[in-house]
Amino acid sequence: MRRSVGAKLTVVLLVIALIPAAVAFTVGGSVLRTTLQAASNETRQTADAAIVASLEREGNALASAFAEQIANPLVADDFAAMKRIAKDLRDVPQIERAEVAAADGTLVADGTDRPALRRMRSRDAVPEEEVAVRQEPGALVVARRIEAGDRTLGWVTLALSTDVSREAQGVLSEQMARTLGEGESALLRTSSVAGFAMILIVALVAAYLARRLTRPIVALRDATHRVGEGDLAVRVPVKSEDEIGMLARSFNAMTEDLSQARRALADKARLERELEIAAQIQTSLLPPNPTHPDLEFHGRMEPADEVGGDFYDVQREGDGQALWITIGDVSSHGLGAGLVMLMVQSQIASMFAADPTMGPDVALRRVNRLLYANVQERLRDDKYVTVRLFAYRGQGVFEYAGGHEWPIVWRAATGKCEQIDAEGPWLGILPELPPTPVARIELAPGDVLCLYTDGIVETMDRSGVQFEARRMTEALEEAARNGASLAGMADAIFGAVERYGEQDDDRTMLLVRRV
Amino acid sequence: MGTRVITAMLVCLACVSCDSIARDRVSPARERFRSEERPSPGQPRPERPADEDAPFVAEPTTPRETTLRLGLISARPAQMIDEFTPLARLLATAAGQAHGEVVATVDPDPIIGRLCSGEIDLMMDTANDAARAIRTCNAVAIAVAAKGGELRYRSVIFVSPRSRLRTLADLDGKTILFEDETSTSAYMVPRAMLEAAGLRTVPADRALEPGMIRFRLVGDELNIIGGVVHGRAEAGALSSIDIEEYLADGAEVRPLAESDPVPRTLVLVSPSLGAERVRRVRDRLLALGGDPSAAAALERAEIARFGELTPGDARVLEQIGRMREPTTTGTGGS
Repeated sequence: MRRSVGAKLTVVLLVIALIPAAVAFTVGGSVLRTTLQAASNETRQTADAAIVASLEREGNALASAFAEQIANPLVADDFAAMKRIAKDLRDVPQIERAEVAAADGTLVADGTDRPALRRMRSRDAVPEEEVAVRQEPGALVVARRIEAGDRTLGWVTLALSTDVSREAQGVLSEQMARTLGEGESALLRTSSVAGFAMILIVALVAAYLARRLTRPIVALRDATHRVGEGDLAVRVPVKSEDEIGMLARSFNAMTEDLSQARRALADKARLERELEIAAQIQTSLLPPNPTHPDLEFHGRMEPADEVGGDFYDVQREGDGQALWITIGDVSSHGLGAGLVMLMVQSQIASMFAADPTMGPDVALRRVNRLLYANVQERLRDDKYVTVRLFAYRGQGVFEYAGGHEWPIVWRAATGKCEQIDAEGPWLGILPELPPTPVARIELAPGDVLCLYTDGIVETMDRSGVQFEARRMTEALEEAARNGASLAGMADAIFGAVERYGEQDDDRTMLLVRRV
Repeated sequence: MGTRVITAMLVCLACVSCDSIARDRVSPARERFRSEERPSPGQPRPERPADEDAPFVAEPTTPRETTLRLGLISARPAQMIDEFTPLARLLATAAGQAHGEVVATVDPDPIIGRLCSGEIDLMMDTANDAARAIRTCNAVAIAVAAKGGELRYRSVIFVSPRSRLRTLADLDGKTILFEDETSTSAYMVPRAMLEAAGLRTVPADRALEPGMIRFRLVGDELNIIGGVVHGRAEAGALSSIDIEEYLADGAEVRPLAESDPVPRTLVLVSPSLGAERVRRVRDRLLALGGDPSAAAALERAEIARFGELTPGDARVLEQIGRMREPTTTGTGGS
């Protein structure tokens, strides 16, 4: 069964309140019992003394009557009468001994025949006074002289059992027990009523306190439910600086953090969608399977986790000889970079369509002009593009312009690679490119033009040393020596760079061989 | 403070209760004890039957002609009637009578008188009263009853064990304690013994002369033996049955002399009863001891059997009869 904190707190407060009450009740009861016991003992002693005093009074009176009755039989030596008188007294349960002694100390009657049949001394001495009282174990002994004129005829002795004291104490104890029992019962009843009332009051107070103490917790619980239902705007009031106030403050901070995290997640999701679109753009722009009578192509792109701005393109007009090859890299990543890349690719493609003979420098100036206007001026962005445009002029000759990674040419005749020194401006930084020289490359049959992006050569090993073009040419040369196809060459290069270090940027390569 | 208050309350309760308890236990005894009238020494023991003033407990209820009447003398006449009626009926049958009836009184005179007048056919009593009846109207003793189991006893004169007295003659000039004038064993017979020993018995208030012994009637057997033990008198007299019991209880006395056997209870017939009836009653009495059909009646009457009268019994009765001469005892006697 689930119990609320308020209920538990109520029980705890109730217990805390009742424990001292129970202790007080127990201690009070113990003190009361001790007091009553002490009073009872004192009462018993007093009662015992009272009984003895009462017995003494009664014993004196009885002894007086005894002496009065026995006087004549004693004088007349009437043993039978003395026996009967003594026996009558002996028949009284509380009288243990009723004896008559003559003046010479001879026992003459004790309620039996014995004193008449034998001469015996009385166990008691003649009382020094008319009446003598003493206590023996279990008995009060009263001796009284029998006197006639100035003569002492003898004395009577009565021993009264103090059992009556014990009996009286028993009766008294019973009465006291009954009285005390009734008192205790009354006390118990009163205590029960008071205790019940106290429990009720304590329970009400405890419930009130528990409700008051748990109200912020309940508010927190309700707020938590709302958070669970997705309402991250909920806040709980902070009314104190205690632990509960701190908890409320933490809760509010938590919901704020959650809200921010949710926004971050949304941003991330949006970014991921953008990246997905960018990746889609990036891959969709790559030429599917370009062909040319003079040339053979193999392009490969391995995107990094984040979409970069690498691209390459091959434009050919139908089955003609005209052919433009473009390779580039847009700064930054994401959808914006993809759009810029699309912008560049589209414009180059449109210009190639308009005039395949256009010089690559002219084409890049136009692209730059448009790119600057759109990105820098309209989008207020600072993206730029490194791009190199190769225009095929036939017979293995390419005119090229732009700034990008220096191209490498593997010469079939030598089996070695040449890195072409090809400086050039980046696009989108300046509104107008300065005059750009157009360079030429001529591929002999079998030669391979290797175009690539910085994601290959700038791959670093664990010590931070870049892969560099040198290692790439070595891999290319080895593959070429082994008679590898363009794909095999790409495999060798990508394998080498893969082994060299972890990828953190797009790796793009386009190999072109003159057939 | 609380303890003191509670204690004070309880003490009050205790004192009231305990005083009440002590008084409740002792005072009634005291009041009862004080209210009792005690007899003076030497007076006969008080007998308080309800019918003390009436001579007969119950007057005869059946026709005299067809009834055998048995007279008894006892301090408890009603009890005697109850106990002896079965025996009376047995004897009535033997005597050819239809009814057997018991007449009992406290005083012996009415019974003896009616026996002598023929209103009563039989009487059972001690040797003393039997001697009176014989002397009064020649009533005839026909049997001895073993009342309490014994047919006969003896009277014993005893002295203190420290006494130098050895014979009855040594009692010359001494004092002897008797019970009362109605006692056979403790008055009649021992007095006869002393007379037979040549001592003249005189009451204690008489002046002594040589050859005399004073006697004092002390009213109770215990006073007799107690008086001797405690030196109040030189000698005392009791029945052998009593003295044996006292000796068994450690009594410090020494027997000095004892009498011939004395019939304990005698059965006498009225002189008017016919000889044949006397014979039949006597025969029936003597046969009762061996008759199982009579056992219940005998047991109820506390009689073991009946025995024949011996010459010794006759002598004792004669002696007692002689002792019945008028005397002046000076100390009571009924």
